[in-house]
This record gives sequence, C-alpha cells and structure tokens, in this order.
Amino acid sequence: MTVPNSSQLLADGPSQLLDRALDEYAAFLREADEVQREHGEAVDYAVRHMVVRLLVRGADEDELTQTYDSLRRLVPVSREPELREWSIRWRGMADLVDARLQSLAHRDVSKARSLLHVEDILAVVSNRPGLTQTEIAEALDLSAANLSRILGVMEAHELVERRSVGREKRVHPGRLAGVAAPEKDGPVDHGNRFSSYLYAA
Amino acid sequence: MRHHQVLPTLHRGISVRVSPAPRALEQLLASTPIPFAAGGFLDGVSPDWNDRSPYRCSCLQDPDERWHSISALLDEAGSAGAMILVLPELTLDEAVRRRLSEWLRNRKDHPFALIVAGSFHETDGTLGPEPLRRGVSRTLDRWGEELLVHVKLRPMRAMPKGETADEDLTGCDQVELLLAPFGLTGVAICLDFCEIGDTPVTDLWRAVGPALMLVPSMGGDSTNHAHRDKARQLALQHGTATVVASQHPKDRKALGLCWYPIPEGEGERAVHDEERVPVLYGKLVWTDD
Repeated sequence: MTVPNSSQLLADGPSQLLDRALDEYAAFLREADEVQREHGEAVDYAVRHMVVRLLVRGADEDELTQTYDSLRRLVPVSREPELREWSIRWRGMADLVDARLQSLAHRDVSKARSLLHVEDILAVVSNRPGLTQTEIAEALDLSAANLSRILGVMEAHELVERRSVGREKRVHPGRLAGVAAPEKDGPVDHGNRFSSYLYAA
Repeated sequence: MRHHQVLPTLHRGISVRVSPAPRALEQLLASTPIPFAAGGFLDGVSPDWNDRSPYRCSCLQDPDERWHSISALLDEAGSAGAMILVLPELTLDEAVRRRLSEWLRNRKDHPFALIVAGSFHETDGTLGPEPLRRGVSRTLDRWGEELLVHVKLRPMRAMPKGETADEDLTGCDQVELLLAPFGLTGVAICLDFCEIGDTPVTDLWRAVGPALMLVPSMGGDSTNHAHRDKARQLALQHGTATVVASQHPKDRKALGLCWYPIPEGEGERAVHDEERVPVLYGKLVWTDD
C-alpha cells in the first residue's frame, strides 16, 4: 500500500485518484499533519465514483462487503470532529453499499423463477444471448406487453439484463441466471408419510 | 432461535426500541458458534469517586493504566477469536472508550463484532437547562462506532453503615435492542438486569424476551448471585443466553465473570491474583429447538 502525501493527492488527476484503494485514503487521513478542504474533495471524488461504479456494475457480496468495511474505516476516530462534514457523507456512502448488500441478501430468486414463462425465457436467452425483445416474443408466442412486464420482474431479480443497442433493447442472461431453478413439488408419496412421522417421533 | 416474536413497545412506562444491524455485521453474527468473552481488570484503577457524593464519578483515576489493561485483554480475547466482548460497569471513561474505538477502527484483523464498552457516568445537557447525570453503556461495532446506547434505568442503592445512599444519577425510561440474526440482543447495566421486587425494571426483560443479554455490572457476591437468578429465569422462560462482566467497586480481586445457561460447575471462574488478563470464554450456539 502506498500512502499518498498531501501534495501528491492534490496533483492527482481523476484517473489516478480512482486507481488508489480506499485503504490508502484511510492511511492518508490517519497520517497527514493537516487535512485541507481540497484533500477532502479529492478523497470524496474517489469515494463517490467508486461507490457508484460498484453499484452500477452489480458487484458481488464479497466486493461490497470489503468496500463497506473500508468505508467504515475511512475517517480515523481522532479526526472525526475535524472531518465531521465528510464523515457523515462517507458514512452515507457506506449505508448505500449496505442497502445493496441487504437487497442481495433478501432477494428470493426462486419466487421469480417459479412465475409463468420465466424458465422458458431464461432458456431462450441463455442459448442465444443478445436477442431483441421482439425475437423472444416471437419465439415464445408472447405478446410484447406481456413479455416486457415479465422481463421487468426478471431484470429486478437480476435474472436478465436489458442492454440498449441503438433503438433496440437486447436481452442477456443476468448475474443470477445461473442460480439453480427451484424443484417443483412432485406427487406426495402417501405410503411413506406415515413411516416418516414414526421416525421423527 | 426465534423466527417471529411479539414484543411490547412500552412496558410499564419503559419504551422498547429495536435497531437493525448493518448487513456486514449480520453476516458475522450469523455464524455459529459465536465465541464470546467477558473481561475484567486487576489493575486497581478506580473511578474518581467524589468524597462529597460517594456514588458519583466523572473519569478514571489512571486512564493510561486502564488502556494498558484493555490492550492486553483485547489481544487475549482476540487471539481466542471472541466476536462479542463484555466489559464491566464503570470501567471505561470517555477517554479510554475513544481509544478503544480508535483501536477497532484502525485494525482490520480483529475478530470482534460487538464490544460492550463497560459504562460510565456522563453529563447529558441536551434534555433541559440543567444537565442530567446518566449512567451510560455504549456498545461498539467492529468499526468502533456506537451501535447501541443503554442509559441506566435504575440507579444503584447502597446502605453503607445502615444509611441509604443512591447513585448520583437520573434514571432513564427507554431501552434499545439490536436485531441480530439469532434474535434480539439487549444490554442492561447491573440493577437494570438483576433488580428484584415489584418495579417496572424487574419484569422488563421477561416481557421482552431477548435471545442474548449482555450485562456490564459492578458489585460483590450478592449482585452476582442476583444476576445468576435473573439469568436462570430468562433462560427457562425464553431460552435467553446471558453474559455478565462484573467488577467489585473496591476489592480488585473480586471479579464476577459468568454466563448462563451453562452446564453445572462451568461458565464461572475464580480469577487469581497472579492472572494479568482475566477473561472468561464461551461459545453461543443457536438452535431451532
């Protein structure tokens, strides 16, 4: 880890600021003799863009957890009164990352996958990524409105991703498309039910 | 482990609030078993008891020496993998607590998820023209930030030389619980947990039914006995696990570190004079039974 000094941080351009890890900024804030407003602005630029990029590209739980951890360690306790304004702002960024972690944790993909037509759409999209919505509607004999509604639900659960290419939207498998489909309940074997109660007792 | 629970928002005038844990902390507390520790201090550092009002203090006599003891305790409990640590009542003043926060913030490699940073008397000037004195216990998360704040409900009453003397504090009428993956976690300072008789505090925890109680305390054998009784009742009624860290106000060898429920003869340990770092360890295992 390279800890930037005060003048380096002010001389850095946007791409250099984004190349640094959050832990380097934490070390700077811990070790710098004086933190000026310009230093806060430079760190804030990096924090803001890192968090937005992370959320937009659908980072996984591990990366989100690591980023949350680094954000919570950014402002040293001894500097909290001095950096109060930034501290509240960066804590808000950490809360955004935490909200994303919460939504990932409570996402029940199995419910979305049990909806009508979802498995069929997933099969088509997995075999031929990048189909347009019209092509999928034709392949499955669905109305455009119905398909659009189902794709909206699937996209919210990260089962598919719609990418705009010119005026068209092309559909690709989403981050959670590979999660196993829920097993459908088979017929109940009444012959075995009684014996399983006996074993449970 | 409880999946659903009905709890009062107001119990005999005491309001009950629940705070969620951040997801990153939930992930840690969802592991099983959860190693925990209760620690005490043999360094002889006392609060600066005021001569005019014996049950009143504003800081520790020697904060540096106390921090030295806490560092050793953190190393010891940390090397055992403790995720939850409870420290006794009136053992960390604001200066020492800030050093503990800094320690947690600056280190990524420690195992702690929650530390009940003892408690201390604090002056609260936010509620009216006259500042109020409060007994406050702050629970720090793994990043050294306050996650739960418990203000003592019931000031201590002692009877030195047959005369009644109260702790120089104003009580509170609110408790806050942490919503953890295994259930609710409560913090209670000493009498807020072990009070007997017919008072709102006595049956508060039985009405709330937390999964885990963390109790910083100060007292002798009778206090520790009362903690064990209350812990036993809660364990029977709700399956609550209780971890107590108690320190005697004068006798530095008399520590009361215990947890409940426990197999007979385990979970309590006599602390010997020669031991520099008195810590009691255990593991919490949550089941659906």
